[in-house]
Amino acid sequence: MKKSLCMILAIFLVLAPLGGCGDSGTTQGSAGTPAAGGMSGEGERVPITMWFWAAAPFQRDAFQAHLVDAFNNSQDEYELILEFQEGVDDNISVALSADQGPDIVYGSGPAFVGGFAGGGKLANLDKYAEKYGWADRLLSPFYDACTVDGSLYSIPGGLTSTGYCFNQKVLDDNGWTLPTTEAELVSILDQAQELGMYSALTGGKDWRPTNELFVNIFLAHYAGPEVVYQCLTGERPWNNEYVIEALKMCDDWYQKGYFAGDDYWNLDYSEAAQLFVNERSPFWFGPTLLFQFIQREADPSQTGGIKFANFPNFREGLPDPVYDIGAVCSYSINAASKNPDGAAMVLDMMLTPEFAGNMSKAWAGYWGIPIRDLSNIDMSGAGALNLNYLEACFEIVETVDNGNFSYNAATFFPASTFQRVIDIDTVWEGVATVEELVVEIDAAYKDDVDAKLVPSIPRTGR
Amino acid sequence: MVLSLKRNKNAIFLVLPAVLVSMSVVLVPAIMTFYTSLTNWNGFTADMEFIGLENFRYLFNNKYFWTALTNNIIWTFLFLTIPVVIGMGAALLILNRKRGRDALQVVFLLPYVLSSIVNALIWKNVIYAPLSGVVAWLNNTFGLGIPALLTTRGTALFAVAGVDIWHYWGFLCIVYFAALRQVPTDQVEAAKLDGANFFQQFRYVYYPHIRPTFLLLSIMIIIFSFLAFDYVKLLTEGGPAHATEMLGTLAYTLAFKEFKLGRASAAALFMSLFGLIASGIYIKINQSEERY
Repeated sequence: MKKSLCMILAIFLVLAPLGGCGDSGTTQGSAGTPAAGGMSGEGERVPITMWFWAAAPFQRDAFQAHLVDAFNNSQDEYELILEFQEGVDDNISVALSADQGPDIVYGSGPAFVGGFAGGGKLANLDKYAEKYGWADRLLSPFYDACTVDGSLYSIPGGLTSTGYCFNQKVLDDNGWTLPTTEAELVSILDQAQELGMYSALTGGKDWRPTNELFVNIFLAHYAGPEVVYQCLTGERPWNNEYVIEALKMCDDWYQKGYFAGDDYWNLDYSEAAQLFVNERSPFWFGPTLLFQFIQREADPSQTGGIKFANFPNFREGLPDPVYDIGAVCSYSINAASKNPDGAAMVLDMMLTPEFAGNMSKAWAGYWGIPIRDLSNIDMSGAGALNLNYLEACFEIVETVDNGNFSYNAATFFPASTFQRVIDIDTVWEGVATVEELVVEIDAAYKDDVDAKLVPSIPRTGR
Repeated sequence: MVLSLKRNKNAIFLVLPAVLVSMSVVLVPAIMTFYTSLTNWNGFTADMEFIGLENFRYLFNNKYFWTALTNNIIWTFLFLTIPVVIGMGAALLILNRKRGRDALQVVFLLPYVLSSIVNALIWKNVIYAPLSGVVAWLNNTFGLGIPALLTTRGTALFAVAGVDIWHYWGFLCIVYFAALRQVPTDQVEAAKLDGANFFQQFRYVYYPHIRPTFLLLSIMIIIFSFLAFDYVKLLTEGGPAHATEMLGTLAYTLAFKEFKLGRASAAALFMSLFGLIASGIYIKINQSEERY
């Protein structure tokens, strides 16, 4: 009996690890899913896998209803399987490096895509772009940004632009009007501080790359889009007077406490949202993405007067208005996917006004997909906050369509350049000077050029 | 002679699986890491150009590499002292307790068995939080004026180390306690009869017996200190302004944020180098002690 038990255990121990050696097959989250018409049995749907960040429950519900269920009900060949993951950015990078990962690749934007596309980890989407007419549907700067060497490798997620949310009630209570010049804005920031409020809320507690937002603001509204374009295309070194002055101005604002004062590193976006809706500041500096945190943290009765505004220019001679633009994320198809056609069908669904509208009604701040007919979506029944978010998106889309845009660092700056940009905190903390930092940014950019990591940069002002 | 050869063949056959496994999981990755450190590999393309010592030159010219190395050395010093003293002290205290010491061991070991992400979240959002945590309560109640420990450059490294020490000392305590229990009680009794006080008992009876365990753990502490990553990544991401940058976080950023695997491998080699030096010293000490 004892001997038999030992034999069974021994066989089990030998076979158990072998079981893990096979193809991961239909398990969630693997690109090694059965090929369409191949391994899947008759009547079985072929799984299409996708990873996404660990969204809040109401956001997951919206995603499930308007993407997963909508896609799965629209056809009977594929089944979209969505997995929410903590640290999805890192997980995707590691998985792709090992030729693994889901069929649909969530990425942080074109800069991320450039590296992996160059490495053959992402599928070329040109044939799908032609089949579905994506070039006509997307705003051209976003389409161009998603190309690598002229070929499409991703589609953009919701558009984002750095500006600020303002609380109309706080402005009204204090007799302030929405600022249209730097002087008016700074005046309110100073007055708010004197009243014991935060000049503006923000926070980098859980996400050091938050630093890039403040570089975005001053590059767009002081250095200007043309200078940033020239830097990103190598026509002008980063170590130039406009970038230096822009970063000095950024440092000056930090030192004056305009970025949540002493609490910049002590606040995350959830905490900042709660302080903002509780009228602890007239402004919250950040991207259009802020709406999603406000929606998540606040009661709808507190959010009706919250809207988004763009910064005024801080220097003469710049196009006005100018928005820095980026995408909250990108979606690609894994080169290792055995079902790229099904994955492309999912991407196509995400580029429709119906999807953008349905998602934005349920989930403000994230799903303003940069398509030309975004303003045609039906928003009847949407809450005030969701409407205010989409109004901001419509204005950004119109401005970008006219060619006035600058470049969001997270979307357009190549990997090492981006890391040096978020090192702006070394200037804030007195570890480095602006002059030293721009030299490092310049060196990092050259490294990125050598490593072929610079994404396509759409021409501003065209 | 024939019998000896046959025995050797059998021995080689028996040892071979272990050698193959060791080579595949240790030696091959080590050689690959070394080779990668001499290339410009980005981690996901087949292109891998040999660039000699360029990655090391980059690291030596990168001020944050030196910050990271310095932080790792400070971290090692902190871990070779604070948790060792606390762990040994607690082990000696529970050694003389007859009742409750099993329960105490479980309590001491709890932070060690909790996942690092749970520990980090508790400390970051409940204890260290300067606006709503225990620190805020101390400041508001007693007017202590404690700064934001994780986000002030001067305190951030020590605050992160504090969390890791809190998580680690219980493990040291349990291992020291297990070693102390093996000390022959007759020698302890004899020392007591000779009038040895507590510290003399430790110095002349306990310590010589637990020295091998103590040395081994010290070497492990040095090795793990140069591999430190999880708590730093979870609590500060190496910030603010690189104040808590470690070789581990630097290598991670280079590999997965900047896609410079060659540079990351070079940084990783430095992490291993100090562990190797510590291991060499340990082997040398062991060899010299075995001679006597």
